[in-house]
Amino acid sequence: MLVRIDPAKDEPVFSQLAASVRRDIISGSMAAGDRLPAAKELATALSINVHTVLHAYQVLRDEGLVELRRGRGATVTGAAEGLTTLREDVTHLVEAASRVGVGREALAGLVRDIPA
Amino acid sequence: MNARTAPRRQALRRYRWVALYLPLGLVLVVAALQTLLIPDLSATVPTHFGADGTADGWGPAWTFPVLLVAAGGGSVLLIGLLGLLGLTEIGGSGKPAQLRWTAALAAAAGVLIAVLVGGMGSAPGRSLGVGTILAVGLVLAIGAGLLAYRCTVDVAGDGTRAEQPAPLPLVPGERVVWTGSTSMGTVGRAVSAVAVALAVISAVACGWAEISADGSAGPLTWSMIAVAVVVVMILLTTTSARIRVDAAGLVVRSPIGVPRIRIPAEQIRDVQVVDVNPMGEFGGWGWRWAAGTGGWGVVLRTGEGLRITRTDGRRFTVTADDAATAASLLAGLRSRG
Repeated sequence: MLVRIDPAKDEPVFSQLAASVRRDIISGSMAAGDRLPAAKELATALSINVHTVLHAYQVLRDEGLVELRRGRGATVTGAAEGLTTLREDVTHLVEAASRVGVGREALAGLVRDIPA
Repeated sequence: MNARTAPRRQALRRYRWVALYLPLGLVLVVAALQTLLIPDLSATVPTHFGADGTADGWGPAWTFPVLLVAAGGGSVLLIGLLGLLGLTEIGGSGKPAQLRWTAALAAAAGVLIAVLVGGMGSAPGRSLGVGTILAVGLVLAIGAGLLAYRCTVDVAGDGTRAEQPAPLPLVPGERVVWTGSTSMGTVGRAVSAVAVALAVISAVACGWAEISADGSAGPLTWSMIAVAVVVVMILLTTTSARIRVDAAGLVVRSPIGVPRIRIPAEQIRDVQVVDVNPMGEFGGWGWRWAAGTGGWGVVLRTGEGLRITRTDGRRFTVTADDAATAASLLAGLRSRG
């Protein structure tokens, strides 16, 4: 799992951290049941406060992407699998669209026009 | 490839003779001699000796030849065939297979077991003491091992996959960490499970035997329990490992924290993504040291891994899932300085 943050940015560090982990989960590089690094380890490696890491993990828990358990740390939930599958489906869709000459923007327009 | 085939075939032929045919032949010859001796021996022979060297356990005369073929032949086959497995599978990293060590181990195991079991079965406490047989066996086994090492040659790997990763672009001030892990494959897990089961079963069997005989657990039981604990500890530390790359460098540690290896960023000269063949390059799985330029390795499975060359030329290899990202981050951190 690759986590990158830039303290010079305006976005709060916890939010950058959550976004970074979220990207890893959705891209499929973290699978359901995988354990996130211990908050302390991540805090030390990134030279940030451990509460900032815990804050980011709580954000991800509220989104249903990770599960926080005392003693077991943070683990990726099955909810991420749905997103990963969806991401793959979208990849296939983009490929299929490009085969018939429809670009990404036009495809996004098609998606918006599909009646709910 | 063609330039390599002939020496490779020759190395393989030597290896087969030194690590398999000769030790197996020795075991079979000694077992055959013992079988011929059976009519001359009493119906029972001593099979177990106390701490003072006197026999305190007895078994039928055929115990020793059977034990010899099973234990001696089994060990030689196991070690010898593992070496062949490493050779046939040796993959991309271009490192020599550690054939010589394996051959030495197989020859030494064959000689040691042949002398021990052969000596005890044929001279049951009459002329030679247990200690003497043990000493002679060890000396001959070391001799056989050295000889086997001299007689065999290592072979180079088939090809090379050693990729220099593109450095990960980093913004100044950006903080990055990569965490990953590596764990044993299905075969490794199965072997580990069998090892734990054997150790536990042995401890329970010894305990049951001693308690039913003496009413309390004796030293044998306690030592078997100690062995079981050691086996479990070893497996806890070698079935998986955690890896971390950050601005400080690389850290590899077992799930319980020790052992751990830390390589500071300023000591890293070169990073590569390689295909690792643990049996071929390191002679086995786990926390390993490979002779020559191999250096230390935490090699738990065949496949993708990270290879570090330190500023002093020492190498370190760790198998890692998604090693490419880790290598690219290390390269990126290094180029940022």
